[in-house]
Amino acid sequence: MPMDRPIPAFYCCYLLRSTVSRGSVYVGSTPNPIRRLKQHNGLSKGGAVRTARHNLRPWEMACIVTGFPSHVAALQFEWAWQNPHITSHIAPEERISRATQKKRSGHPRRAPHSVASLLANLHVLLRSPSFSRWPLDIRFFSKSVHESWVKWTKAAAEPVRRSIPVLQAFPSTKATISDSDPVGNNPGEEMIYRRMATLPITYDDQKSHVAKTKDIVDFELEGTCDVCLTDLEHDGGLYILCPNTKCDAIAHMTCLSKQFLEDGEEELVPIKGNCPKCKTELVWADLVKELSLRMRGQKEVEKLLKVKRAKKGKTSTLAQTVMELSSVDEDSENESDMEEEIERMEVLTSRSGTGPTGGDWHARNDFGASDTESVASNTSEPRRPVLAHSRETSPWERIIEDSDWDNAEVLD
Amino acid sequence: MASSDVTAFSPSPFKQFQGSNMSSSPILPSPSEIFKMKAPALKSDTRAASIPLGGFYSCMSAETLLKTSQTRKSAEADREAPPVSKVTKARTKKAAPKSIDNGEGKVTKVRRKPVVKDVGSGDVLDAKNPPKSRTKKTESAYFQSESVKVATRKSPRVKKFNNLEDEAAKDKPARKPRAKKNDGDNQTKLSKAWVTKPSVPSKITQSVELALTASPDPSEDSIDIDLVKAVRRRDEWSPPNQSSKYHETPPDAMISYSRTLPPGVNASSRNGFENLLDSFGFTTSERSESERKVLDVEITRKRKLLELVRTNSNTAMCEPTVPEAKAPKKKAKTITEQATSAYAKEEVKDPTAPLLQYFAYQTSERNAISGFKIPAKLRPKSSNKGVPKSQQRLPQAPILLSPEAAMEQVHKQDFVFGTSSQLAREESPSYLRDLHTAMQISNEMADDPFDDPFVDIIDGPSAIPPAGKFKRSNNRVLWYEGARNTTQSLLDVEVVDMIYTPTSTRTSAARNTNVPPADSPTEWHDVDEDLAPSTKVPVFGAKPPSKLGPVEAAVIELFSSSPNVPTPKVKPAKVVKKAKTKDAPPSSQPSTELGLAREPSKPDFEAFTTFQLEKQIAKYHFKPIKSRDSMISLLQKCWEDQHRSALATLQPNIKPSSPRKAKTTRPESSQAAPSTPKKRGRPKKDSSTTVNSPARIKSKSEVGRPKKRIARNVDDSDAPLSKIRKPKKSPKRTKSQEVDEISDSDSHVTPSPPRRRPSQIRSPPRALKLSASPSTEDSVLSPASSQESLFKHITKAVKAAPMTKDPSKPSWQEKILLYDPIVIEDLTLWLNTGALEKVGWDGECIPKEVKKWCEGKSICCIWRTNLQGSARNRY
Repeated sequence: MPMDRPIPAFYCCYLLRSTVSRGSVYVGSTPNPIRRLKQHNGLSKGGAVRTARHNLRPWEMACIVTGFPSHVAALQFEWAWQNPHITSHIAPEERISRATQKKRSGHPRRAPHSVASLLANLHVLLRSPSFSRWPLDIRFFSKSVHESWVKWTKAAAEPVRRSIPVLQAFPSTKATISDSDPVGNNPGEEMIYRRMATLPITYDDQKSHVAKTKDIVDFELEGTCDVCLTDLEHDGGLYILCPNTKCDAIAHMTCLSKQFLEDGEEELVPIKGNCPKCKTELVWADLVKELSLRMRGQKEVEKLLKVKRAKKGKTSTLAQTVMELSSVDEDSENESDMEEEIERMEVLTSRSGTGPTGGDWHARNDFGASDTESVASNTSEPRRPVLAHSRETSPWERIIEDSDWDNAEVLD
Repeated sequence: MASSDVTAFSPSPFKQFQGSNMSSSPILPSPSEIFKMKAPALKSDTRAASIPLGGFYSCMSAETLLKTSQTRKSAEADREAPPVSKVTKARTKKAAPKSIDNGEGKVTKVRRKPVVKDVGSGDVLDAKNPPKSRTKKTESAYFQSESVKVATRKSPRVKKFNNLEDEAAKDKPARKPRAKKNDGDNQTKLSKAWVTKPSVPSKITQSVELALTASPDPSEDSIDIDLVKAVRRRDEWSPPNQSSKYHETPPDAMISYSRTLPPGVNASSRNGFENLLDSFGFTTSERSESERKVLDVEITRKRKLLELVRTNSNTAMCEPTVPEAKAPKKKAKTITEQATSAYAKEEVKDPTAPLLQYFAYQTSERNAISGFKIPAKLRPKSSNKGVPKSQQRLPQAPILLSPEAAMEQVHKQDFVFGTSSQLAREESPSYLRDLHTAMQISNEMADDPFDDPFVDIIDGPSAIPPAGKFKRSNNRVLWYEGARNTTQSLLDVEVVDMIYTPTSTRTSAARNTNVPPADSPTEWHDVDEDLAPSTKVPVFGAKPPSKLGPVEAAVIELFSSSPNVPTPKVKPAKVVKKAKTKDAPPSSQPSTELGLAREPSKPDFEAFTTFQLEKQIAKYHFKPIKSRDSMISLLQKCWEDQHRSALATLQPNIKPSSPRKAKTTRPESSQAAPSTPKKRGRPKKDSSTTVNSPARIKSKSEVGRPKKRIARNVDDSDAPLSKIRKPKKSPKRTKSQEVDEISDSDSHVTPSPPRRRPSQIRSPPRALKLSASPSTEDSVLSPASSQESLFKHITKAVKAAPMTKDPSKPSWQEKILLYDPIVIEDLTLWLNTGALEKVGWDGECIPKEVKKWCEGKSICCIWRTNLQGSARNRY
């Protein structure tokens, strides 16, 4: 049974803590923390029974561990985190939580969790060889929890591998107040969701990378491996392309991994490395995620590339706001106009290709045509045309910041 | 009575009676006993119903002619049917006085009710009205003769029923409810509720009669019933005493009905039915004294009447109800009762138990002396169940028990442990006993070498016990050869061969010829096993050691002096006494000493490095084994075997000594055994303690229960009792021992996991060897190093695999690079099918190791199957 799905866009294990009873904690995993948190808080269907008590709601995700490369990995980590007293991922000498009692079944009963114990065990788990090299990162949404984490980190004999970043996803001052004051439940809850809204739970971060590699691979422009310098036969192996749109580096996955692992012979999976060409630091997980999408995520890729248009049509206003907030570009003045045009264009294009926005629409069509042409003409040329085209459509697709930026770069 | 009845009859009752009469008459005349019973009652009744007597005689003849050949007494009783019913009640104790009262009060009451009833009944019952008129007119004239006749005719049946009912009623409450149902009919027939009360008991009979005799009439009955209901209501209001009056009325009704129906033979049947009703009325009236019954009857009547009519046709209805009545009388059995009851009975059953008989038979055959013993064994077995049982046994022996003897008996008792539900679960009560007895016997056989001598010694004075001893020893031999060996062999199969030659020769010689050579090894094994469980040790230590200690010393002495003396010779009582006094301490001491000596000798294989382990294994000429655990276990076994053989050689020395005393002291040695259980920790230890082997063997038998031993000692004091009891005790011991042995076998088979686990876990100090090229030598040296090198090779193999040319089928390295969850089994298979070999690793890896490797590399790995055992269908 071959693996048939790409690396998930997002999977996290989270430490749930009641905002009412700070000692009540819960460990779970989810690919969509916002949805899951709503379930825990009773805002939507589902949710664990243990979190169903009204006097413990609302819950907050005090801390999440993200980046699991598969849901199996996430579930394994979740289980290990939930059962630090028996998991085999914690070496006996490292074990902090030990079973003091036994269940009826004879299995050891774990001691009740607390924020401190969970953080301590999280620390242990992230240090354990089983997970230390996983592409994980930790995000704290609660300052108090983060503080206790820091405290524990100082006390711990060994630090967590540096490859696992610890992110603070809470506002410096307000968060502390909200955390300390259970009174501000509602605002606190809103805050929680707002903080979590920035989580990259979709493949959007890979969109540019996917689009770039898709172009290259679809037109069989692989070329030669930049590591071993052998020709890359189309569909003849697993190749990784530099996510940097201005970099055309491509290499065998194994070759690139070897290069990334120069220092560590014994390790198999690299964590990060520098692109052989552009030398930008690349995170292995990102490279592989794109590769897995290419290999096994046809649906996801289509959805990812489709979504842009669909979203624009339906949620243009939302997209506008987002763009306004996110884009600090010099084009901010014109953006409103541009967006209006986009809206109009969407409406009109659905009916007829004519209108003031028709130019843009046609331009996009040209983009496709140029691709085909490039395929016919040259292997090396197509990249520029593609970039150019994408740039042309940039006003149109403002959401893709990377593409705009990349286009500018390429033009230079 | 008759006159009053007549008045009552005039209105509705006739109709009712007609219907009822039809049905009632035929069935009545069966049981002669009833008549007899009624005869005395009649006399009492006659007081009240003096008038009818003359008529009765005439009626009597007719009745007898018509229906049944009944005795004159019965006929007379029948004539006075109402009184008869009373008589039946009298049996129950109330009859005579009540009947008299009823007769007096009845007239007034009956008249009142009939009037009311008549109106309703007459309207309702078209066909029956004419008879009523007739009855009214002729009531006085016919009354006596006809009524008497009817009564007589019916009365026998009624009496029969009544008798039956009464008899049944005495024991069975259920009939009463039936009677209540029938009451409705009776009342209707009789014409009024008053009657109903008395009729209650009789109703059942009536209903039966109705069904049998007058099947054609049911329609009439049903109609009557309606009328009856009204009557009943009125009757209900009346006080209970009035019911007695109804008794009178029924005869009237009978008469009236007979008048109406006289033309055909049916009349006779109807009359009989009427009589029945009357008789029922009496009975009911008497019973009706208790208002409760009346109320119940009345309440139920309306509904039940319809049912009664229908059901009356079916006699079966009445019958089934009867058993129900009986059932309630029986006390509900609790589970405990059920469980214990079986054991209470078992005493008797035990002799029948096939197994016991078989054993006894064998023993008897083998031992000429055994003649007595067989019964003795059986008895003790049965006695085991409870103290009272033992007392029961005593009758054969002196009833008065010395305190010692009493204690012995107490100790002899067998205990069956379990919840009552568990005990009750056994299909047959004798099952557990048989099982126990069988186990005891088999144990005895095994234990006999030791136990027998002891028993013999104790029993020596009395002829019976020695015979038992001999039997046991003989049995033992047989058992060893047969089933016994199998059980033991299961425990220590390996050991048997090793030990066999040395011990068997000597032991056989040392022990009486009775013991087969095989026994000695098997016994040794058992001892070891018994010793292994620490739980048993305390038990032995408590009582037996103090008493038995000296015995062992004596036994040793005896053995040294006369190793080969046969047990039968040893029997003398003197020896027994010595054994009693001396047994315990010596036995306990040697056993402990031996255990201590053995333990230190055994190396701690767990502490060995894998390299050392491999060397050790090589010494035994075994192929190299990769698993450290298996190596350790194998080495331990080998070591045990070696030492056991050594022990066996040593044991002969001890055994010879034991045989000397064995004849005299064998029991002592067995007693000494209890001390040995301490050694049980492991078979290996046992093997080391060759000297203690005899004691250990005994301990096996004794392990089960020290009490038995004590009991034996007590028995010794009381010679006669002890003789009989001793055989019992020994089987008991054996039983317990066997159970222990089984548990031991389990413990023995499985190496203790906790000790080995830490050693087993291969510590991954990879840093040491990472740089160095993987060398097989390293792996050999320590498990950690070997594992480390293995991991290196795995890594190498994974990396060395060529890149895939098909993106859909990535290589293992690529899968790992893609963060795919790695299926451990698949990777292991791949590694073992050439991948490892290519990178210079000569060997295979197991999934566990692969899993460790994956975890060490931060590789997400999974088993092919999920926790439920089914293959994953997705990652």
